[in-house]
Amino acid sequence: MTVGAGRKSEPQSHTVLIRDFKYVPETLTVKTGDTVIWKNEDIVPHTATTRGKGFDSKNIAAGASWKYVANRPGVYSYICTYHPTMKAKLTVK
Amino acid sequence: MICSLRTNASVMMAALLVAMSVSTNTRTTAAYAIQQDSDKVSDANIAAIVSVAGGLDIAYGKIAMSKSKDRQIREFAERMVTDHSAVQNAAVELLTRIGVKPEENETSRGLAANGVKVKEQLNKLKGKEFDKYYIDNEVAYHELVVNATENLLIPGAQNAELKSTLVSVLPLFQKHLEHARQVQASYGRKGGMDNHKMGMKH
Ligand SMILES: [Cu+2]
Repeated sequence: MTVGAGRKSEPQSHTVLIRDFKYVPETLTVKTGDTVIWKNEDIVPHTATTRGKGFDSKNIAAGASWKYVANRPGVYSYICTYHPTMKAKLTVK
Repeated sequence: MICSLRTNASVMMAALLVAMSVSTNTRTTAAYAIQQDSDKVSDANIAAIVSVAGGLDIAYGKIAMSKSKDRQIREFAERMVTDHSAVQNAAVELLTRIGVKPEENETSRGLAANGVKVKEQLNKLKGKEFDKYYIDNEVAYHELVVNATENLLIPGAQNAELKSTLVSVLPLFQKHLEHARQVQASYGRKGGMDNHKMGMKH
């Protein structure tokens, strides 16, 4: 397994759809250095926000996207701060 | 579904109204005996129900945003205003496009009448009493909206696009209901001394 700077392949891009008040997929594993794009397909704004250290998209408007480069390995549980019962997990290897 | 009830919109509305007024005095989750009669509800009726219901929650939210001192309540209220406004806009856009004009009916009138009472209370109450009333009503309101959408509006909708739009906004109402229950539960722990008088906790 390659970790961090040790990766041999090109960084990849992954998309998480926010649709019908769900993150699709709800669990996603990426490699360090990959990009994750959250695309909000709902008619209302959402966020993708970790509770502690991690990331915070802030407001992702209806139809908009937010891009994050996963630079730190770890397991990140995140929620939508607007609709806190929306939950998902990003694993960065 | 309780099958012994007659199937008509007024029975459903009566059940909903009882449930809503109950929620103002107790924390008990009201059991909604929704009796759908989706055969008798037209797309124009559905348009009126959606419009009245959405307008009410936006109005409640605006009152709470200006009156409540509780951050959690204010943030919840702001979310309701944002999300329900988005639904209203989408509904207006759709209904205009498919040429459906809202037509009042028993259910929409009942909702509106109940809304007048709720707004009266919201304008009257203060402090923690206000917060409790607001969030209890939000739980009851979203229970009503989820049930009505599932059991009356979706099965009743004739236009395919109207039906699919209702299907796609159902998760929004369900998430709001979960969120409202979460806020209600945490609010009860924080300030609701009266909720523990029955010796159920602590
Ligand atoms: Cu959200």
